[in-house]
Amino acid sequence: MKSFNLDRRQFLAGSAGLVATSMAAPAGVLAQSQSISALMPGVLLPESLRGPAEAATGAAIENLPYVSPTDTVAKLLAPGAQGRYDLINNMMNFVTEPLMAADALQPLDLSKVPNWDQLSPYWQSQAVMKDGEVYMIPCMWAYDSVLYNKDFIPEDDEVTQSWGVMFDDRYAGRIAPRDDAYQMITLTALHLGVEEPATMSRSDIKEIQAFLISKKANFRTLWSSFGEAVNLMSSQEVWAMVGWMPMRLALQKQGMNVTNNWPSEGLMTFQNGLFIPKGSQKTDLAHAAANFFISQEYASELAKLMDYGVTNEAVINGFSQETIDRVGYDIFDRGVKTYPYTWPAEMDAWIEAWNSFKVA
Amino acid sequence: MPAPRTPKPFPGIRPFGNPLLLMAPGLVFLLCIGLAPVILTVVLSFWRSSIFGTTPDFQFGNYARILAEPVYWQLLVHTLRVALVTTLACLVIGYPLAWFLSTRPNRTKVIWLIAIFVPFWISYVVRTFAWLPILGVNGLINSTLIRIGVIDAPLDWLLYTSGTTYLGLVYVYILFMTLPIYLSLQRLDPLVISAAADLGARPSSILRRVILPLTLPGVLSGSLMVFLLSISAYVTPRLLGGPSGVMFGTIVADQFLTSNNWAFGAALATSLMLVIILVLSLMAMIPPVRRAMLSN
Amino acid sequence: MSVTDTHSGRQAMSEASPRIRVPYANLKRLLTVYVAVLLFVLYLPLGVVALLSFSETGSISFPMGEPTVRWYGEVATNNTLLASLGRSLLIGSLSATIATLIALLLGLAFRHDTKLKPYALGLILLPLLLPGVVGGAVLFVFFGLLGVKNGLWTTVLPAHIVYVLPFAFLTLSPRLKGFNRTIEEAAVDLGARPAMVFTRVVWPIVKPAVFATSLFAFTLSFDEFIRTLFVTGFDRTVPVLFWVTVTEQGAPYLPAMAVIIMLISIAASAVAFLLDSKKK
Repeated sequence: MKSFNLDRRQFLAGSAGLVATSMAAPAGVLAQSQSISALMPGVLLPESLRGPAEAATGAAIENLPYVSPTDTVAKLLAPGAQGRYDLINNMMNFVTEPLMAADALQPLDLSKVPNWDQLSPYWQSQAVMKDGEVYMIPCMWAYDSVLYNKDFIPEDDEVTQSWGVMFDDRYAGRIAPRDDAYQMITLTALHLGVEEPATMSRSDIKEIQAFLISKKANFRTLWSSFGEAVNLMSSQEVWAMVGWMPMRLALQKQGMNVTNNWPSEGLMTFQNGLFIPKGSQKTDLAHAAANFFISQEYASELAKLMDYGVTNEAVINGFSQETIDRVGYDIFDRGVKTYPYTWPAEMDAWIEAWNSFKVA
Repeated sequence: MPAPRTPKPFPGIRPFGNPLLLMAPGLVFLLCIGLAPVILTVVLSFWRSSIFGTTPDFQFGNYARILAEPVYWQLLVHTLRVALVTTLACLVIGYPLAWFLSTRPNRTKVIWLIAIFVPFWISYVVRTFAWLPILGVNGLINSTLIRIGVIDAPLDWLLYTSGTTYLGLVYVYILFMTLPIYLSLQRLDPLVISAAADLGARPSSILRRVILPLTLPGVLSGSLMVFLLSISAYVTPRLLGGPSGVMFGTIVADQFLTSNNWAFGAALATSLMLVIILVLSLMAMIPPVRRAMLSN
Repeated sequence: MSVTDTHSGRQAMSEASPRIRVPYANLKRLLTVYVAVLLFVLYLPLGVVALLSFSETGSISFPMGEPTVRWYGEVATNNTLLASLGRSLLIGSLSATIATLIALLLGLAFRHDTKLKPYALGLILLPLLLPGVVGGAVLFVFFGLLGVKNGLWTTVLPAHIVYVLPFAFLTLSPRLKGFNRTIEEAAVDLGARPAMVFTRVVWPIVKPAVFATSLFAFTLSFDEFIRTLFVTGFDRTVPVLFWVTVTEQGAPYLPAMAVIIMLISIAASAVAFLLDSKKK
């Protein structure tokens, strides 16, 4: 990376650089009011929480289009990324390893995050630490499972309690996988009996690719984002899909007879953390925003709007038993088998396998 | 169109202004924002990218990967086929439409033109998306057919197949074909057709030997537009294509917008540019095409 | 009408066009039927969007339940659409103005004979020959490596200018070469300086063409999506907003939003069209 930076400086000295900087100048003048660049899934900053979040931060939060955890890592480590982003909210169990290895984050100043004291002891213990300093603060957790329409797929069908419902020929043509290499290959691997998908060999990956291709005719289409997915289920274009907790809620609110499964091979879980990349020039504002995203106000709204799990102790203790049962906030106590999102050793091979599936 | 030779006119007084100064702003801008990015992308395509960043070591790894992995070849062939079929379909569907437009009397022509244009004033993202509620399982077509008793079960193949991708592409790009053909039909001298008819040519040979050759420039520029637009289609295959809704353009875009493998994305983009140059030069070798290009 | 004469740069509708005789009468009838079917297909998606904008259910699909206008209310109170519309109008008019200006200068330069012309032409046409995804990708790489932060003014505006410039040049340049230069020569003969030749002779002649070109450039910019997607920052233009609304939010107010934009573009284009045709 060092040599690259030198190159970039030389390049900047060129005429093209002059043009670009002269264009950047008026932008600086126009952007007088304060703002921070955030990178977080849109579902974690719904419109109704934007006002309070920006008030608490004292700046506009410009949340850039979010794609995936892989993409977040790549964006942070991409050329010219230093200083582009001020606050990230992403799957900590997934992105910690590459980001810490690349030394891409700054230690957080907990004195600027007073709400840290409101986290439950468990979630405080889950923070990412190095040399006695905190780098990531947990702010929410969730699981991904198969959402299915009970009008078409009976709840008592045994296959619903496995990832196998995605591949069952009886529901052929009515299934929508997610267009995401990591998630689809992981759940297929789990379904095919791979214990540790993240470290599986290339020949295992090839086998999974072949299995996916053999089931391709069963899939109606692939979804890539929240809106597409919800629309697929609500228009009854598909009966089952890999889905998120807020999708289940959105569909239930529309009156759809939709629930989720508890795959016996392991429910995919993740916890999101807040962190500040190196190079951010607006660390005070970023800390203020991070403080809001673990506040009681934010956590209770997020749980209410999205069904997500949260880390603020007061909010956790305030859940009714009915809510806990409905959402599944007690999955860890219930002994549901879980598989936390884990960074795969050979991500490129995974992406290639997924592309081969799509082209096949 | 072979232009009739005219004697060179009196050269006249030189136009005002210094050509270099007049060109300067445009050329500087185009060099910086037009050409420099392309060169930079080609350079970057020899760099090394991983999920941990992009480093400038000169190597052919990205191209080796494109050549070694069959998936990229299959995708390229698939994409070329989609682009060519879309171009042909637009031509076959658009030509009669252009003919119809050019044969309207002057007073109503404007109205017809507006009628054809209005759908294209709406963002093509929306126009593409709108096919979902039309073609879906519970969509307009299926529910209508079921209600009038033509079918019992919804037709699944209406949506999320390669046919849907073609439909979507032709739908959004047909105007880019119709318009240039319409313009070259406008320029067609009706006397030429009368002359051919007077000389005893049958309608079919008038069409083949007179009208088609004379409108070839329009056909070519329309085809070029549609080809370039559909070869890099992104929205249509993603929204309508189903599980196989992947084209070269979507993979290129994914490298930058999703997996952030810049160097590899640059290599894919460079390959696409090369393929386009190759296809265009191959086309330019066909004699009538070459003549039409030169006369344009 | 600007859009009709873009690709060839010739005037299309202003000249009287004698009708071409269609040889077979029944072919004529067939053609009419064909065009009717085509028009139906062209308008079907628009009709469906308009219909679904009144859908009661929260999903953009059939069946749609009792008609309701609540999505229009939601769009009206939601300022993201208005903000995006403002941005698209701003970017559209700015990029159209700048590109037309540059194209005008280039067109004037192209009236001279210089050795530079073929190279310049290649440079001008380059962005036109890059397919959208590639055009977006190269700018993404360029701005990324330079460390230019994505934004409306930093990246979107230059991307739009470079995209519309070739179209502006191709539309404008034939008009600059095409007009009768005798008047211009007479003016020079009578001792007019270049500035005067431009303001008093050339400008009045090419003004309508410049106006039409900028209008066309504006429509191109207004509907530009894929290049913008690559370089967009937080401030979205209308097509990017549509994309985000379709894919990320699946918002039930999308059809209402589309109908509103539809009406605005039709009204604006109709006004421009009327102004333009009045002139001729």
